[in-house]
Amino acid sequence: MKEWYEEPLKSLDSQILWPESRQKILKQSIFRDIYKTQNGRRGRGLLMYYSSIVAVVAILFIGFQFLQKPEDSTVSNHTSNASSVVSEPLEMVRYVNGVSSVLLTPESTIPIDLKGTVSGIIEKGSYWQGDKYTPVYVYYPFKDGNIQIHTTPNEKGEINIIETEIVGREKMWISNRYAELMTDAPQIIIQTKRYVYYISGDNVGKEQVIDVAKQIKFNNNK
Amino acid sequence: MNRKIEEWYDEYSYPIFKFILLMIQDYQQSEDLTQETFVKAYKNYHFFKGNSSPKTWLFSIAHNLTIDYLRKRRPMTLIKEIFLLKRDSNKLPDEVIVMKENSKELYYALKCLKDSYREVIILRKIKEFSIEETAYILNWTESKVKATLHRAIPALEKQFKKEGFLNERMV
Repeated sequence: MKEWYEEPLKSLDSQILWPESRQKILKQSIFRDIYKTQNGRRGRGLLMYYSSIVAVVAILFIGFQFLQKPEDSTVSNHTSNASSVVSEPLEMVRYVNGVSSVLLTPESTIPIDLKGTVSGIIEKGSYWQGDKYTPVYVYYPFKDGNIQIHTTPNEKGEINIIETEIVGREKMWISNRYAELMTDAPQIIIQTKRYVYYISGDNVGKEQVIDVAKQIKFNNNK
Repeated sequence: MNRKIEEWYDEYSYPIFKFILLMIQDYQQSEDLTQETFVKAYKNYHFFKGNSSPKTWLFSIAHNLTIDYLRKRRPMTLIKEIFLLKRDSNKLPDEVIVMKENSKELYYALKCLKDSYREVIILRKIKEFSIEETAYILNWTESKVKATLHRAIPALEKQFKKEGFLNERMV
């Protein structure tokens, strides 16, 4: 026999509504927090990395001072080798038309430095490696906010173009690729047959998110 | 890892939000705690060894955050009640006002129960977790889950009757 409370309790649960739009906004907010966490970890990791490089170089330098004659050129060779280690990880960076750019996916890049190209960006972007699903994250700092980019493989290999008008979503084309702008977030999602690109803004205008999205350079193949 | 968290969010955020809302009965704060649940899941992902289901693990995080929040909120609520000389009704926002009248009454009756009673009723009778899963989420023994639920149901009925909400149809 059913107890008196069973149906009312289930009915209570089913009647609590949480609009999908609010769920999406919260989801974006969660991933912004996650990016910030990743960025913080990366900052600490980089500090350790650079500190250890500096320490090694210093030890080598002092060691050579004792062991080698001053005219020996080995010292300068070693330090220059060491400093090349400090530079950006080469596999994530490409020079596109002479501009240092991050390799977002095998089909696209974006310039590291968008200061002056996109209004509001205060310094060069930072980037770091993710996992096999999200190979790279890029982060552009603004005075009071930021824009982040990440990608995931398009597993279905299809481009889903929205047929009907949906509140808060606008269809657009960025570099001849289908994209959707989530006006509330703001966020742009660009779809290609191989990848999905997420360009999300935190405390910035949708125009700035669009401007950053337009800076992604795609190879010719769609 | 991000992808996994995203999958979990798509699957479990709604039940977790509803669990938190039923616990704290504050819509905006429930969204904030749902957000904290998933950010904390991300930060502690390496502790998740698959001994429980992801859903149970996420609910245990949500439970801990909710209990922490209720502990912090309690002194403020008391002060408010003393100065306003009445209980804060925590009106529901427009988004959830579609509740039927008897559901609202049950919602407010749940509010008057002590946290442990409310929580065990929500997990066992609404979310339909097993005794074992409920024990994992609450970090209790299984016998404590059974005993607390045994006391919680009459307390809910009493509260419901006290408010004059229990009608013949339900009995």
